[in-house]
Amino acid sequence: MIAEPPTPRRPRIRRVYVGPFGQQVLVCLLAGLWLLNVADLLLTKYALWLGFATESNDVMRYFLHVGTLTASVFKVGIVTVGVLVLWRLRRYRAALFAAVVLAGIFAAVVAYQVFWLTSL
Amino acid sequence: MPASGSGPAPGATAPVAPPLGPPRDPAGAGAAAGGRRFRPGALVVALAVLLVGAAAGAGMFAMEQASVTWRPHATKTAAGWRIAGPHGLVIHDASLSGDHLAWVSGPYTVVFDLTNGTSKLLGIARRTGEAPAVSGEYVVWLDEAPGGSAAPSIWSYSFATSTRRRLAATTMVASAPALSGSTLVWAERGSGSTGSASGGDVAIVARDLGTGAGRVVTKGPRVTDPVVAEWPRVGWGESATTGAAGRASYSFAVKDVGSGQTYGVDLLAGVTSATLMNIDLSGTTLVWRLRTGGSSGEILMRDLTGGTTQPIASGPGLSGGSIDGGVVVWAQPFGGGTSIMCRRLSGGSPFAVAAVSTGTVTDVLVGGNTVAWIVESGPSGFNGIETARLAQ
Repeated sequence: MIAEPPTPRRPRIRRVYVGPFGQQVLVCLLAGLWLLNVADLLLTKYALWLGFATESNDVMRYFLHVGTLTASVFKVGIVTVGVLVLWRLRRYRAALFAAVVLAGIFAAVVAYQVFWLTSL
Repeated sequence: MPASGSGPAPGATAPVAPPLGPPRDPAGAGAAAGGRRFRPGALVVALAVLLVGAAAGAGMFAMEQASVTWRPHATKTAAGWRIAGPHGLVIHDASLSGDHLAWVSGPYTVVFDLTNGTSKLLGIARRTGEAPAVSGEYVVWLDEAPGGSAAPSIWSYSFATSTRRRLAATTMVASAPALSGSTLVWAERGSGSTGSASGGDVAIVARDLGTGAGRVVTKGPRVTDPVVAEWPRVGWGESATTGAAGRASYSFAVKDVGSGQTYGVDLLAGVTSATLMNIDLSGTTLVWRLRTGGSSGEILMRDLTGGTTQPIASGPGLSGGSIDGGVVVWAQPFGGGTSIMCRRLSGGSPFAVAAVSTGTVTDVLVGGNTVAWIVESGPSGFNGIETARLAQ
């Protein structure tokens, strides 16, 4: 009798879930992330208008070259989509981790811009 | 006899364990609206995350400022200020008025407050020789439009309101702007956006920064920069010509916009050839410097309402040549160094304001009771501006 070959097991991804408190933190972070993105857009536009700043992000530089409205729609739109995706995945700890990292980065960028502009 | 207990009866469907998956969110609206009350602690945690990020941003800013900065190094002296360009950058194209000093240093256009020693970055000077002009509550400068793709235009900054703006319709600018009080004056090439000049003409345009009201002072094919302003008087150059006897001629016109009277002065009268530098106007007195071969030169003045051209100083190594409120300043070599000289037109002999022992004085300015001079000492020496207050 020939033994059946073992069925290959799919690797199991250990999903860690977030409790209600973590989801509330996620909500706050996503709201902050969205607002910081808008602040980043406004501060970048102001710095560009002042004449001594250049957009270092190639993608945003392209859209800013096309037009302010196009750049605004793209920037706000893509972050809105990202926020909604994270909101959809709110029960996963990975979503909370991503929100923490992204909100922290945006806070750093906006703080840098505020300090830089006020130092002029 | 069936066994007692809570087990399912034989044949009954056993309860099936729910598949492994995320916890249910019956409301479908997340934790905030999932039937649980919002806990303020969540907001505190989120704010803490944002604060950590902001602190990281502040740290990056501090690191950057420590390594690369436009900010000059200013120290208070007994007579005024000693301002060194950042990273040894040479300062040039300065303008002085009242309590403010503006200049170009490397790529930076900077204004310095002489009352408290603070400085402000105005813009990036992408071209040379575009001196900012400061007067009263405004400073103006020429800079490229954002992105650098459009023609340079004039920008202004108001000390009173701390606002800067790019002035519309100031493209096709042909000169560094001049400023007197709130009146901005500049030369504009033909086909300029204001439509003030056409073809090969150059127009001298004046605009009040407070009201926005503008006017064309003059225009024509021979009109050229530099432009000076002591409102309501505006001066401009006219193309240099060479006379029949081979003598150079450079006519400089000053128009009193209030009365409509125009004065004309040949700034090269009496010399065969010379380089014209440092034209300045205060009241009805015009001051200019001529460099006549080698390092020799002379500083001249003329009252536009009458009289003749008078020498202020002559000799080798002169620099500067600036007038404000009846005070003329310049620099001249003295005893191995350089003396910053001053002469009051009301009378009296010229006197030394300060002495510079090392380096080259490239320009001297006067504004109100303050004299400023630019020193270049090479890469390892002092490159910057020093100021001193004149005794009343």
